Amino acid sequence: MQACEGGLSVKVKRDQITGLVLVAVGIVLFIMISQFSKPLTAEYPGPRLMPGIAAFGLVVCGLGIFIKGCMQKEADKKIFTKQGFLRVLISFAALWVYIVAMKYLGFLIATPFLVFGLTTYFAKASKAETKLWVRIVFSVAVTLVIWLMYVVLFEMELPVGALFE
Amino acid sequence: MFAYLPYIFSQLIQPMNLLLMVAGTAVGIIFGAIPGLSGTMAVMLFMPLTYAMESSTAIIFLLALWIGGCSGAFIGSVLLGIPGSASAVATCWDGHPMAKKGQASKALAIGMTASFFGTFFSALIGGLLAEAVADFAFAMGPWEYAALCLVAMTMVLAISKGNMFKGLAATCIGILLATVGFSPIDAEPRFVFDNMYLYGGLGMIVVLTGIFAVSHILVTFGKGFDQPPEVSKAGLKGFGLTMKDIRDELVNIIRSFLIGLGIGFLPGMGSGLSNLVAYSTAKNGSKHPEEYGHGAAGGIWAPEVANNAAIGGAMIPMAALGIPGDSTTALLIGALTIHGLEMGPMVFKNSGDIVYLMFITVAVVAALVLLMQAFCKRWFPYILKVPSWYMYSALLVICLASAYVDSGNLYKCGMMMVFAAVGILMTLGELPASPLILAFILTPTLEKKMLQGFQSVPSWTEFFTRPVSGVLMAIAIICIFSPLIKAGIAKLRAKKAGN
Repeated sequence: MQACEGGLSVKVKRDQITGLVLVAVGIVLFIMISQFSKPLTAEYPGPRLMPGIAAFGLVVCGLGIFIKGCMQKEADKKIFTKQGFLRVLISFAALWVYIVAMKYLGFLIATPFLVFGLTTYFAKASKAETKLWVRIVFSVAVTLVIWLMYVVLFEMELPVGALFE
Repeated sequence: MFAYLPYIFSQLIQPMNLLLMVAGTAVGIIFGAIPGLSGTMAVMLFMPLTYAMESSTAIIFLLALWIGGCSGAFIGSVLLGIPGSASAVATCWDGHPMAKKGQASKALAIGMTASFFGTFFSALIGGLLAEAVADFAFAMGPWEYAALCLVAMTMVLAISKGNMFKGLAATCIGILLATVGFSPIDAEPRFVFDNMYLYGGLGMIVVLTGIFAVSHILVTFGKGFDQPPEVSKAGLKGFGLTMKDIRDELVNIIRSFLIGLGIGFLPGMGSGLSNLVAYSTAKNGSKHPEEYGHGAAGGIWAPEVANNAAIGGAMIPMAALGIPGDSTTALLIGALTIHGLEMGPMVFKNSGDIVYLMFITVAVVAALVLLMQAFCKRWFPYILKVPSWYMYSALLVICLASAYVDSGNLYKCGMMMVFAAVGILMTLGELPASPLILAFILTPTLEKKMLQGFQSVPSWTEFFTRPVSGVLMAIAIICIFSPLIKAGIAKLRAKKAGN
């Protein structure tokens, strides 16, 4: 991240952001813990102790990471390119759509569409050539194998879909 | 132990158990071999399948996945030069150079034989020692248990490379996630936001699969999938190993075995560390250290014996104390709890048959892995060539199906996606994974034992004044500050060298 002000360039390091986020989470936790009904005493710490340790640890570690980030001289290594980040977001959104689709259409109908969509997208993003019929057969096969394994072999339930209940 | 042998034998020969053992081993080897997947992920993904099984069947299946995964990790190291998991990092250094010299068959044979030695004998020794450790653990009270949990959570920090604060922050996130729901003893609802799905706590599958499996797949895709590698199939005929090869490395094998067993036994440590220690010890003890890194047989024997010997070592504290030796044993403890088996000293009295079934199953699966790998060696290159776009799309569906099966509702699938987002953010912040798993699994026990301790003696000083818990607390504190201590020692040495 880069902010320019009057020609002065300030680079914000990843560790600085990570540190600040952790400190913020820790502070929010402290506020939530203070609302627990049972108090923390020296004789009996009760339910506040472990979340309190987590909150305290997050604040301290957050500050430590922030300070280390401030002292860091070399530039951050890039984890994702912008395109890579977009790929993560699109896949993430597809999985949310899949969950909603399972609610109404059920596992057997929603899954082949997801597998086909993801396989096509993954392959296209990786610049790999795949045949359409292979992807279709693979999508149906994966759906059936998982369904047979869970529902038939181990007698578990997978979503049937609100439209078919 | 011997009194349970008829029961164990009757379980192992049941057709369903045999079938699941073979299937679990095969799936485990595949997960172990493919870089990016691991035996731990296999256990995580297939754990919900075991809910409908009997305890013995579930244990056999999960252990087969784990052992197959641990053993299979060397395949990627030898054929690609990319370790299947952290436990096979050191195997790359000599395994791949040996394969490039046209001795792939020998490198693979050493890997599979070393894996067998490590797993088989460590399981037998583990089975013999675990009850003695459990007897000792009977003398431990809640303070000692709480201190032991702390040691397990902090030891992983001592070996984590890089920023100490990041390891600790991941531990704190694990503690935080474990405290959602009703608190132990006081039954105070914490972080539930009046949501009925949160009162029972966050499920292990939902949290761990979201953070480690779903986010891992999405992050890998974000970075860009690798094209399927070109793997040479040349030189994969025959077993490739003679008795003389084994005799020549016998000292190295025994030494690496003891290193693996010892490191595996330490709470919070595991095969990820043992293979590196064993490799450097083998190199330092070798008459020809210059050959290491260029395809030395000893450089494959040492890490592979050690990382597999850590399995039996890790099973001792898992069974006798209920304390995980590594991330996978932490998962197994969670899975066994779901099946009504609470690991710890009492388990030998209440379910001794199941505990010994675990150790014997590991030994039997080790032999099965050796057989399967020996017969299927020529197909290893095909495992490594599975295109990521097919594999990962199928795995994502399995992740979501697991979340649904775990809870019976789609709400938990949504929750898993939330934790996948947490996992992605952790990757962006470069926070490590292992401390979170251990903290998430151990926090309920730690909190319960600590509160029980306070109920009996309401004073903090008990932690430090009781001999065993005092020593354990000292170890935990040293572990937390070990990165600073190491840095201080390094500075002092540099100063001395400068003078």
